[in-house]
Amino acid sequence: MSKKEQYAATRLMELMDYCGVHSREQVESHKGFQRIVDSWMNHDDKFRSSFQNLRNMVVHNRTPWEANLGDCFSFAVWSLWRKYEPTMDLSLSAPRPPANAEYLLYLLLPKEDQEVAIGDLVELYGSILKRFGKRRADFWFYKQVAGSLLPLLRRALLRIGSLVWLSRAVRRLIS
Amino acid sequence: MVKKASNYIGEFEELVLLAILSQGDNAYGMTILQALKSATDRSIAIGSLYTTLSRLEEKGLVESWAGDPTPERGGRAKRHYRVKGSAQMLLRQADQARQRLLNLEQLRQS
Repeated sequence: MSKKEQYAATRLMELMDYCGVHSREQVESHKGFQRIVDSWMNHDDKFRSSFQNLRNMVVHNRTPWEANLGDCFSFAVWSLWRKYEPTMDLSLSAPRPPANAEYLLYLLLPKEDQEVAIGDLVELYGSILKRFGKRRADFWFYKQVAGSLLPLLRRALLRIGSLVWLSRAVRRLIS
Repeated sequence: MVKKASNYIGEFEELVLLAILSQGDNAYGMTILQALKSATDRSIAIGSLYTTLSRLEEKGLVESWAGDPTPERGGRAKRHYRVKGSAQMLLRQADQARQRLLNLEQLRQS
């Protein structure tokens, strides 16, 4: 087993030991175990990518049995993969734009547009990355975010302004 | 919220509506942005586009629905847009008004 798979395998085995998960049934029913794996899958990129390698190892018949990891552990890998496959396949193969610029956009965009607008930018970023390389793609992404600041701020201010106006009108009506 | 069609559209709103129409069933953020860029040769920020699309939706001129997430978008869903009939009528009216004004201008020059 290479280092790539080792990270997820070790953490997963330690967690199974810690939670006392020693059977297939426990893998799927132990709430604490599920909750901790959930948080790793959602917030720990290193774990996610290592877990994908671990799963690939299982797929290519280099099963954890050969590495003496045990039946329960292999079942856990399969079970977790089935659970997270829809999001994992997609997010791991996507290009990664600069995180700070993406976060800034995430903060400024209204909630209903966050995922959609960032998805559009990531898609375009990917095509620019392929054609011109990371540096230029990053520059393009920063330019997009900088250009979006003013209209998004204006929209946010208008919303706040209309709320203030509404609250004043309501207060006048009440008094 | 009740959405009603406004009888006034700005220049950028008009361009966005035409870009949506030009993309047919494949009109979503990225394709609209590219259509606008190739037609106007202007660099348009995604923030401006989404602000305008929201405004058009509030005016009841476009409708949107969620599409499928794709790998190249990092698993994020698309939002497809379609121009409503009322907007197409407004676009035609705006075009006719422009044509009339151009004709008047040509008459004055001749």
